Amino acid sequence: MVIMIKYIIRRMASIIPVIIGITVLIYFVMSFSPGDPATMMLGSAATPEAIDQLRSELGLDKPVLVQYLNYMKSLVKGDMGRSYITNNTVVSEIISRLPVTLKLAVLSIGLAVIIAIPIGIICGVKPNTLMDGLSMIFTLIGVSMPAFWLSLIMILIFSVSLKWLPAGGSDTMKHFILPAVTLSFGSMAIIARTMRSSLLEVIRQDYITTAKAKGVPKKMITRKHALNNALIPTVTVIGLEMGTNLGGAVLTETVFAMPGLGRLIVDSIKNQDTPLVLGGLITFAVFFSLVNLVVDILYAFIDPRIKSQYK
Amino acid sequence: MSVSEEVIKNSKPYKKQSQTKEIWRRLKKNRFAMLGLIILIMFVLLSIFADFIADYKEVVIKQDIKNRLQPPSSEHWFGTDEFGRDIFARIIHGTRISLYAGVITVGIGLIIGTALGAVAGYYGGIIDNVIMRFLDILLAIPNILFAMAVIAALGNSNLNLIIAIGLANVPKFARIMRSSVITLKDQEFIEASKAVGASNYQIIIRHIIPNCLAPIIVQTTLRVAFAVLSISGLSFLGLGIQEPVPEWGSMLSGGRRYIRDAGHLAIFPGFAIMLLILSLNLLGDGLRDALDPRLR
Repeated sequence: MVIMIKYIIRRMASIIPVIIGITVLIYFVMSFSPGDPATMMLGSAATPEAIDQLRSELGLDKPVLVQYLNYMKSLVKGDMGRSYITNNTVVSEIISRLPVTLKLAVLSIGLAVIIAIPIGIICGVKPNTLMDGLSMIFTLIGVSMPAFWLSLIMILIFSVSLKWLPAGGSDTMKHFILPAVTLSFGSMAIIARTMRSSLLEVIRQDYITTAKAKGVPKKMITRKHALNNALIPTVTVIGLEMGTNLGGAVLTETVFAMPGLGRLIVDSIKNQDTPLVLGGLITFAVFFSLVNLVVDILYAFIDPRIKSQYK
Repeated sequence: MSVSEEVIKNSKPYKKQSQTKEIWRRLKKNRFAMLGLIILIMFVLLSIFADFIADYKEVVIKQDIKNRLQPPSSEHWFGTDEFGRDIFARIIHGTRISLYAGVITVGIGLIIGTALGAVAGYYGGIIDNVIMRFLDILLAIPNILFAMAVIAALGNSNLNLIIAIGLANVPKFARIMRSSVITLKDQEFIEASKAVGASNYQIIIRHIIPNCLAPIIVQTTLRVAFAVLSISGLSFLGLGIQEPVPEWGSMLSGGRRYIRDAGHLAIFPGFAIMLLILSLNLLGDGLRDALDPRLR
């Protein structure tokens, strides 16, 4: 247990170089942006003296490297700066938008897992049947269908024609149904495919043949021997899909007009609001890394060989 | 004539099967892969002969406000958009945009990614560490957000869009190349090349990269699908290819505004995107199976 805790702390510490790397990359990429943030904040009616004064206050007259180091000093204290457009703190903007994105990502991945894993298991246990064929077609279409197009089709059917569900907003849980289903579709396809192929691979192993020869019932073979081993690659994919859904929320939030973090970043990029862009991307990176950490911890519980490495 | 003489007389001479023919033979057996290939060829032909099907200036970009938002009819098979332009003609010309941009962006990722991966895998040590940590940073940022940040910084143009998505393709190719190189570099034929005095550059270019082609070919096909999706996604957000160029994603963006009155604007461009990506995924999966050495 102590070793497990040490492993978790070490992995969390490894997120720090990734965050530093992201800040360096994005800060220097955004430094090439045309336009002056001080002019953007004050507007075109501002005098040159006022613009120069604001540039000096914000440290924008210093070299990019010095600006970056000042930003990092503030970041360590939890200060991500202020938005060039709204002048609100970046932290408050992110906190106000994050719950919508997290709710959407968790709902979509939850829905994907609940539907995809049973489908993958059934197809893996009974390959080359009608069910298997139909689910393979579904998965192929699922991975090929653009999420933003599926969003529009869902709105067309369920909001415009049937008028069952709202087309935009995030006030109630009803507003999350269409976006979550849309976002889960691609993940469902990938998770089902992975579950099926890894189960097929495991079922071909010698120890499964031995279990069958010993007369162990098929359901017990699947549940006790095959499933745990087949889950390892599936858990990896679920973790990756969670990260993909965090990023994919960008388009879904835009189509469904949801006030989430993805949409905030899109608008900030269009407005060249560098502090918000940086803050949003750092938040995404931290969550993505945390998801990977959870996946790694789950490995240890699923596979005793990995757990034993930490004893 | 003895039995053995008769056997020799009647048997066909042995012909060594070329690897390409063997791969093609295995690919032909896969019905889904063939379906994907046929659909892809159809798209390629449409992009080549687009100008013969519909004139670009007179039909694709010319506005005809009197005929705006018309539903599908015999005159306009997929209807007209908010500016009265024929949607079918715009989808045909959009094929060209999607395919060209998709291939070029993947080309950028392929060249830079395979070079980085080959160097990281071959030399190992600190070079490998630095390159892989840089790629980890790129992978930690969702692709579409990174591409948006690059476009915001460099400006909204087709060239910057291609650079942005091209860079987003680099980590995948680099990782595949690196893992293939790590597997190969300790093989005896590499050791033999070093023993006869081949330089590292010669070994990487002449021996290692050609032996790593199978996974790279598969990934290239699949990444073109990803590139098409990314380009249409960014154009949908207004950060990609700009009007009046008939890009499928920007057509859907226009369709979104009129979804209540003209739903057909939201159907056909998206279906084209899905069909192209599906064909590339089917072909990529088929190539993966055909190139798998375990199935030989």
